[in-house]
Amino acid sequence: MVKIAVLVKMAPDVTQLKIDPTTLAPRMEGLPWKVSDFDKNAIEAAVKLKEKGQATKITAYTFNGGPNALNLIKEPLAMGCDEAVVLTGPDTDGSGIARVLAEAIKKDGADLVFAGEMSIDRIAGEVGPRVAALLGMPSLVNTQEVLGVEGGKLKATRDGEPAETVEVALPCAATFNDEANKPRLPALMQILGAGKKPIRQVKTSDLGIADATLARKMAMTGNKAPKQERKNILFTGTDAAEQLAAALKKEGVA
Amino acid sequence: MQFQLTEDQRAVRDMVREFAAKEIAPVAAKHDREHSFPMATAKRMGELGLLGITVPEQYGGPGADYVSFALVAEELAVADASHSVIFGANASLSVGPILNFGNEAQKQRYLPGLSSGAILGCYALTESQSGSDAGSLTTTARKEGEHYVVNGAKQFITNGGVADLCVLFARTDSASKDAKGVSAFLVDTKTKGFKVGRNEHKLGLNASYTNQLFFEDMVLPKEALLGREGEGFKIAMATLDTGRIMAAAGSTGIARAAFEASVAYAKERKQFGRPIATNQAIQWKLADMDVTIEAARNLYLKAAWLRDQKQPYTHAASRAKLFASEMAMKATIEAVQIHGGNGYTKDYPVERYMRDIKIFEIFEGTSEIQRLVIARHVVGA
Ligand SMILES: Cc1cc2nc3c(=O)[nH]c(=O)nc-3n(C[C@H](O)[C@H](O)[C@H](O)COP(=O)(O)OP(=O)(O)OC[C@H]3O[C@@H](n4cnc5c(N)ncnc54)[C@H](O)[C@@H]3O)c2cc1C
Repeated sequence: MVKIAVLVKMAPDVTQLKIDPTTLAPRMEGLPWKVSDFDKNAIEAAVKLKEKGQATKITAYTFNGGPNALNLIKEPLAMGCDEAVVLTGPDTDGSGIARVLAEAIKKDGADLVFAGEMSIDRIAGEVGPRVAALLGMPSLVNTQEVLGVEGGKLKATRDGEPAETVEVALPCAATFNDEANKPRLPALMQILGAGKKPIRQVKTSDLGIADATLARKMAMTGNKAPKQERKNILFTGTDAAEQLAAALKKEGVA
Repeated sequence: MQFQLTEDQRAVRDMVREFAAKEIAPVAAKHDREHSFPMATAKRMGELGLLGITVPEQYGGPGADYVSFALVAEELAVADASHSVIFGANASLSVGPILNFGNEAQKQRYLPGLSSGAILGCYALTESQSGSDAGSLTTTARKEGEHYVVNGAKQFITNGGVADLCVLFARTDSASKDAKGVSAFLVDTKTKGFKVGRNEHKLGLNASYTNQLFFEDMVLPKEALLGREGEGFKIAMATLDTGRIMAAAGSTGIARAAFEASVAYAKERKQFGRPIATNQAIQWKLADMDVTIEAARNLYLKAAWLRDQKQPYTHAASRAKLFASEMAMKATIEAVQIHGGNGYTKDYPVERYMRDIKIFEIFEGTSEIQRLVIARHVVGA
């Protein structure tokens, strides 16, 4: 009976992000939200384990996933998660988010906690390992391939040259990036069946977490895209190619 | 009025959009160039539940509605028209007759396989001397005791060369010359006497096979009859009504691909020191495409919605098919124009769109036949 908790963040689709040319701030209005990419690698790893018969139940947890969270959570369900817990509460920082997720998982119980290595919008990479710490679990990062769960241990390889093979005693946590696997496209049957799977809505107050304790200790005070300065050098003449090559060499490009 | 897709419809569309962009678009030009059937991606369409999208769960399908079905046809066509047609020949032309007119045994026998892609289907109505006037077909199915013996030939049959199942229309009443004597059959293509002829060399739609089929004393058990004797023409026409929604949606998809390529190119390509998109002459072409694509989409969605509401939709489907295919023909011609000389080469996809779209004005009822159908609704029969 191996239960897997998967952490799923809903994030704005940054591939569609436009930068305001004057303020250099990202334009967030109107951006569609989606399941953060690396979290799909975590879901895929969990679903594969279940297909191998080495996990029995997969629960997806998301916290403050925006107004469309209840709908977006259907994608993890379509991919093969059995149920979802949609958590809401006050705006908080990485440590607060990890606390909320850890409390929810503690209540339900889990032998494995899978998460994306980082989110597509904040790229902080802190929540997975923080949740592991709060739950007192060993934390495997840069997980490449999950070899299986056997004898109370998670066997996996870690990204690297050469790849490491590791065994981690359960319960444990692991984070994944896009090198780990290829997340599946759910078939129509799964997409249309996802709405029938249980979704629990839980508030942070239901978990006994006082709002005040979630107050941000870290806040973003500015966010500007790097200025793209172009050199605008024009090479002319019959040896323009040579001039360009020489200039590139000088810059250390070639 | 609820003027928006349901969450399920949107989820289906988004999945197919991703599938088409990631798995079909990268191989589309290659299959077009090599005139090869895209078996791998066709099977993937089955795995994803597209090939029997409207088949209810009890017969192994996902049981989606016709709005979703149409959205799939558009999304596939954005990546590749051939895939959209391969989808349609299966999900609409083969599944439809069985779903709507088959008996329980026939549904159980064929629908799970058609849904999963384990078997592919084709729909054989047209003959060399019987196209728009489909009721005049001359392939015969002569009853002999417990069997039918089929002789004749079919022409232009999509998926004909790769199909495992053929929905075949043949004349059971040898005395009749018109639509009344036609019956429909479900034929295993491995049946003795079933022969596949050449795959036509076409202007476009190269990745979709279009075959001649020959029947030489082909013996069918009486269980192969679909519906009742003499009901064949009704089955054929009812099937084409839904097929027209699919053709309209596919046309919309091709036009969208041409439009998106044109917008990108017009913003990028510079002449006279500025992007060609800054010329009103180009902007107006793009504006016309934008409007007519949206109009076509609304027409096919309306027809699909009517079908889902179990309301009459023949007129709506004809309107959608006629408008969308002619709109898309114009849009792809303009797309090549906007691309200039590049548009005429195979380095850019728009010449393929222009070749692929033409057939949408011809199959599933030509534009002239659509006007005939529409006029009948307008001025009465
Ligand atoms: C790529 C491709 C795929 C196809 N797939 C299939 C398939 O899967 N199954 C199948 O059964 N068939 C299929 N067809 C056949 C297709 O449906 C026919 O080609 C179409 O119905 C037109 O018939 P026809 O070619 O005989 O043209 P004709 O009927 O000979 O028409 C020639 C011209 O005359 C016009 N015309 C005919 N009658 C009238 C009239 N009464 N009033 C005004 N104008 C008229 C037509 O509109 C057309 O412009 C396919 C064809 C192609 C090319």
